Amino acid sequence: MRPELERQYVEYVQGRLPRLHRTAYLLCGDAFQADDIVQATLTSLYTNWRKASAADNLDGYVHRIMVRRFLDEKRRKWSQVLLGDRLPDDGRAAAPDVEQRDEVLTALRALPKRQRAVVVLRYFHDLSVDATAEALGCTAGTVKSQCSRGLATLREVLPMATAEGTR
Amino acid sequence: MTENQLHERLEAVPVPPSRVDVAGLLRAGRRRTRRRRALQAAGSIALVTGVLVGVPLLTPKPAPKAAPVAVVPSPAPSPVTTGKASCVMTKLAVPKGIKDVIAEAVDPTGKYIAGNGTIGQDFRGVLWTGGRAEALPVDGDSVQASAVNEHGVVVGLLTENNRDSVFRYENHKLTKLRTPSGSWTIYPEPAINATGDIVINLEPLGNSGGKDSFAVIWKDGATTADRLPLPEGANVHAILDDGTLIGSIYRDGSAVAGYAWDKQGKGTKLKVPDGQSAAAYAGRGEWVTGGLWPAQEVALWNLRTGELTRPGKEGPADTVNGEGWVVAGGSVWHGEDEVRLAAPAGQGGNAMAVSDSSLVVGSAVSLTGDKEPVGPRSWQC
Repeated sequence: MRPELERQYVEYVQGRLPRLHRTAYLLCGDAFQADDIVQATLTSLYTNWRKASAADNLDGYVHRIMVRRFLDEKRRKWSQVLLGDRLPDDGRAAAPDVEQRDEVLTALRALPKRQRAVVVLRYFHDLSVDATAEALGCTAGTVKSQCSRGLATLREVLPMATAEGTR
Repeated sequence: MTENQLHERLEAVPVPPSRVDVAGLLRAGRRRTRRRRALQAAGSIALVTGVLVGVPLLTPKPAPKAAPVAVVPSPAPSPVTTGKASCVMTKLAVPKGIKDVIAEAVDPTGKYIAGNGTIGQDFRGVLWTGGRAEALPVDGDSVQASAVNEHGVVVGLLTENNRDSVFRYENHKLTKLRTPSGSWTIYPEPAINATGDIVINLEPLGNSGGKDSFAVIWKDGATTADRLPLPEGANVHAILDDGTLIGSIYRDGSAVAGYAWDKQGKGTKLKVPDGQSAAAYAGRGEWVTGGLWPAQEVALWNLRTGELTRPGKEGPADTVNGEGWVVAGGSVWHGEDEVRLAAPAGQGGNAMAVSDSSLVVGSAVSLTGDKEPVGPRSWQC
């Protein structure tokens, strides 16, 4: 990539990396897989940056890649192979205790994958129904029904919110 | 639980730290781009092959297995005469065990061709000498040939444990070249001239956009690099046979203008049209080529006259030969005329480089489905 384009890419990625990482983690509930999804998504973005950066909705493009990486088991496994010699294995990401103790994460993991993706995009990323449908490659009607089911399930398994609304 | 409360709870989920960082993404992206650059077909292929409609379908013969040194004459149709020149395709042999081989560089005489195939995620370099193919020795995870000179000396990038270094391959021996002490990203790919001088740029590991980068040279036969005495922001992409360095000045990661520098670092700025920025990527003889932004056009400069030619083609250009033919986006241009690359029906030509002897090298690509490369090819124009 030409340096000027690479600079634009770096600026974009730096601003969104933490949020994309959180999104990926909510989607898959696994630290290593979340890293794989983010790395595969943003590496793909790098190789297509010239075209992608000219798109009307770059964030939508990135969400689409990310969700499809998450949903596509074969690609995810491929990306893990690719990442085998990419990411430093510094042990920071393991933290299984963190993964196990969060009830929201546990509840999310109980949802079917596409339903989980709808919930995360709608209620964490605040995407519209249409944008969520675009990211998943489905209809707005499907998003609405999946959203409704997902929300209902979460309400059943998660204890009522505290007065502060967070715990 | 309201939707707002769910949002807040999702925000509050403790997330383990990520191992993904921008520097790692750049390394992975650059590596993937190098692979894709070799594997992708150009958008102009359909245009080139449009004239081939009606040519009987011909199935290329596979390369011989036992002796991967012979060039197999292509069963291509007669050369197409539309355009500035007509070029006959030849199939290049492929060393056993290497897939997706593409010819990517050619020396000015056309005797030596360098290219790469893949095994898994790694490159495997290939050198064709007068049509005889040999696989470069694999002294690391990945060996990627990027250029070859008229003495058959190949240069490229050697990757070991995810770290790149420059190699020289000469007389069947691969030598790893040392960089100054420090941790560097080496980019984009090494270039070599007739004398054997090799140039590339180093950027401190973790930086991006060329920040604090500088150019180095390995003089003929040397294994230790010298820093080139160039201005801040200078990156070198080619070295001419007289030692002239071709490159660009970058400010805040953006190319400002192309330059030609002498060995002492005295530069000549290449003409930039009003309202445009420019970058120079390759040179040969009196010609230098690159691109203009935001026009995204091919730029062709003549060092002797100082003149800038804008053939109006989508850029930037990647290489140029001694006659001023440029290769951009998989096509070869002589002025405003496209050089036609003959191919069997259902296939197109994807050019990567052109010699002074008008030998174009690259790959044939399938025009059906995903336009995957079919195999390495040369075209004598």
